[in-house]
Amino acid sequence: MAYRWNKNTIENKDIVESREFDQAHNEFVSLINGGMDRENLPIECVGYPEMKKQSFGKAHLSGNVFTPIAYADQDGVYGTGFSNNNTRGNRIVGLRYGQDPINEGDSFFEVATNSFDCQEGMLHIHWKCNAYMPFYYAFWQAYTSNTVARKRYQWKINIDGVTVYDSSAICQSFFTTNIATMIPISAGNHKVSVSLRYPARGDDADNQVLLQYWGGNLFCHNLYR
Amino acid sequence: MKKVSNLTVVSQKGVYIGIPSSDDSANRLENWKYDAKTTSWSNELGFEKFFSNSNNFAPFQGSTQRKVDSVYVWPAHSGARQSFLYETNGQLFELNGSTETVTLLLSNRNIPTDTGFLQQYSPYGRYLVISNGLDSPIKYRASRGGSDRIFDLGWRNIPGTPTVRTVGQPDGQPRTFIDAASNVINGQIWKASDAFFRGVTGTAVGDKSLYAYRVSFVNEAGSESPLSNPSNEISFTAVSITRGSTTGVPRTGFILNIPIGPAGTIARRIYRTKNDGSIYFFNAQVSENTSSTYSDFLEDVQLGSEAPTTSESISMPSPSCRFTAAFKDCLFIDGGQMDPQRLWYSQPRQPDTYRADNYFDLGTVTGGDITGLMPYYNSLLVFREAAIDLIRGDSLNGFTLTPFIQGVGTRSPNCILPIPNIGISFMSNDGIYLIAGGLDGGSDLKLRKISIGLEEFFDRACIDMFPKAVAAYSSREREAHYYFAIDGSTFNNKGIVFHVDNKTFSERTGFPVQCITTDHDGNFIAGYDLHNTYSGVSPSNPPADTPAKGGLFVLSGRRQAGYVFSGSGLTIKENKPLNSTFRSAWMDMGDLTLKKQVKYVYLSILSRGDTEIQMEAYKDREWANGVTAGTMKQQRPDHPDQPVYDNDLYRWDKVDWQDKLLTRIRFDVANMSCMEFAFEFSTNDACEFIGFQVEYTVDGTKVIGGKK
Repeated sequence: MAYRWNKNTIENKDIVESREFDQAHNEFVSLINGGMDRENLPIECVGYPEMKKQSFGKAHLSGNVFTPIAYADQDGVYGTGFSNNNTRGNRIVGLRYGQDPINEGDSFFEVATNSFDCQEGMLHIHWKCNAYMPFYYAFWQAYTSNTVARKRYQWKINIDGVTVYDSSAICQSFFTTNIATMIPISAGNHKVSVSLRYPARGDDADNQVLLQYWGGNLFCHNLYR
Repeated sequence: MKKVSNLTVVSQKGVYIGIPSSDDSANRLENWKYDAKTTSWSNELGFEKFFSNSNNFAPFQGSTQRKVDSVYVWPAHSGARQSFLYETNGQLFELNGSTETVTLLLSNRNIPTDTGFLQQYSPYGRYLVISNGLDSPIKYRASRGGSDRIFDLGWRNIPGTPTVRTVGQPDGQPRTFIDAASNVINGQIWKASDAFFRGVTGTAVGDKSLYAYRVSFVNEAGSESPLSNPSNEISFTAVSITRGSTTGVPRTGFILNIPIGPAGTIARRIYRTKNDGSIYFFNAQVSENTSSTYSDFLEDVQLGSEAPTTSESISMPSPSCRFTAAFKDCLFIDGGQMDPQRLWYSQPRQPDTYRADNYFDLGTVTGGDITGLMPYYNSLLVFREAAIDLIRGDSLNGFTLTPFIQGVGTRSPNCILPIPNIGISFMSNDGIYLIAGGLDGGSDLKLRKISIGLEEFFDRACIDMFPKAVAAYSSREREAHYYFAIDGSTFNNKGIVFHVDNKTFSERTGFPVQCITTDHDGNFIAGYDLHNTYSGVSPSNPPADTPAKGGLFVLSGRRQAGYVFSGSGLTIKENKPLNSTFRSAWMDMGDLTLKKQVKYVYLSILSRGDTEIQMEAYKDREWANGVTAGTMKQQRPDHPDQPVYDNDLYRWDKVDWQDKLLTRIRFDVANMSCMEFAFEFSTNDACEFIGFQVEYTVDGTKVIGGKK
């Protein structure tokens, strides 16, 4: 069996010398890299009891992401019947132009974040979310010059502000997005965020609902090297 | 007129206690290790328990555990497998590092006396030979099988006498005549074409047969035991018989009852005389150790070579040997306490087989008993109490015994230590010696003392306790450690360390080393000289902060002096770091008659942080009445302090990596007018120092006249 004991001691009031630290650390690195064989690791010696939680990776989940209540306003155009005698039954709510977070559109706004300590290795990111996009004003008005909104949206995944995944534009009215990526990650704290972009306002009014999303899950799995 | 002068010691050397002593020697150098890269002395040392993650001293806390009498590490698989063997309380244990448990290999062994030799461990091929001079020597085949991997060394008894069953008449009842072949009588068990089973007895009517057998064992080490005593003689006279229409002389074989061998026996060899002969020849080998009979059908012409004589393998000639060594394919063993000047050697590649005349009787009476064996180049060094002899030659051309040196020997077999690229060191009554060179290729074998200046310790040493002295060399630390008893102690209370890179010694105090060895990586593994934490020990609730000991421990870079009791039962806690002391040589600055006014001492150190060094100055060889020369931080003067660990000033959520920087710290020595000057500092904080400079003035004042 290869055994290692303390090569150096770091004590209060001492300077911390990087070289000493590396040498002490290398003791264990060399042990794990080549100092063990079948004598120490017989067949099936490692089972569930021997594996501690998060020995090989760590997962983080931000679940149940939905349109913030503060921005989920009622639609003022769609769903109001002729008699208007049941205004609640078929009205939809969601994000609208002219207010946060879409405002005038065509810029990304943050939808979900996950911030956690990583170890060196790979980071697998998976974003799943349902969304609904009303389709009125979806087309150019025939034989007129009236413009209507271009109805679509786009997701983006960032790590520490750097884009690592751009989805294509999604045009379906009802759609469940499933996007995933895996990238090498360094040790330390990292922030994973998912952003959304809606097109710039065309011929749209403030009171029409543009987008509603719900059931979002941002799953991050840091696989250690 | 005053003149300012300096005395500079660029690189501090080790301990030299004597008059005169060089300025770069140390009068005291306790608990330091030498770093060849920076020529500095560092106190980055201490000792910790073997399993630093375990509670208290587990797994050494069983009720039968006591102080560790001996320890040995036998590495294999490039160090991936290491057999940690240790002996305590008359038991031999193997430490299993994977499961953090101990396995009992042997019990009811003799516990070494305070002045007796410690147990010896000597590798021979795939075996470790273990001997202590009191119990039977054993061979241990390191593999995690526990006690079933232990075998006796040598053949303790000759094999039991085989017996041959009586043969009656053919077709007689009960049936004891075993037909050898079917070429005479049809319907027999053997085929005519089977030449192997020809039959032992004669082919003509009236032919008389008379035979006897001997048996030997072969063990897994390849050794053949002594021959057994001869079996009973079997005689038979051939007769003619008729079976059906066929008449002829049938031949028979003999059935032999053969003995079962001791543990480790893998085969039995059967030897037989020729008809009416007295010389035995190889008959057959039964390559197992379970069957109790053997049927022999061989004719005389089918027998093999002549059997070994009874003198070629005798029963274990030294059943309580103390020292063993492998040399030139043979295992050398001493004669034990009963025959302490006899040296036996085994047959080549057969560590259990000894010829009756394969031994030497050592010559000179004044040399004393054998106290150790150590192979060295082309010779085997035979250490004696007051002499060293050499075994030369080989098993093919014969070994010879020649004296090497008279008057110097050893009583400390555990201090015979090979130091790579330097030679074999050993501890004699008056110091540490080194054997270097060789006798082949024009080289000379030389002996020299390397512990010059350490006579002080050997004058105070307990000679009777020297058999208990222990030593180990670490290729990792490039240090040879020696621990022995001084000042009437009954345990090893003095440690001296030879630093290979500096070729000088330092001292170790506070290390409770009863026995010591090194593992595959050069870590010092030691056994505590006391066990006060085993289950059932009294007192069961020792006072807080008294030393706690038990089992094996490791000399490492952990800056702590082992463990102390916490004050709650037998639970332990870490002890504070060891105290490290440096005391300079007495310096007369070149003229003993001139008065010197020492102003400053500049200590060359590597910056370590905010920890402090306090210096004391002494004059005129008086170690009492020291003058405090101040307390200084180990930071560079005239520079901003380097950030240190665990200080709120530098706690910014990051590590302030630093280099240790060479610097000089000045200590002011006030009003020190003296003939000779020395200084001392002692610390249990981390410190690395290289040398020093003493600044002094001389105004021409000379020593005053002597008293009348």
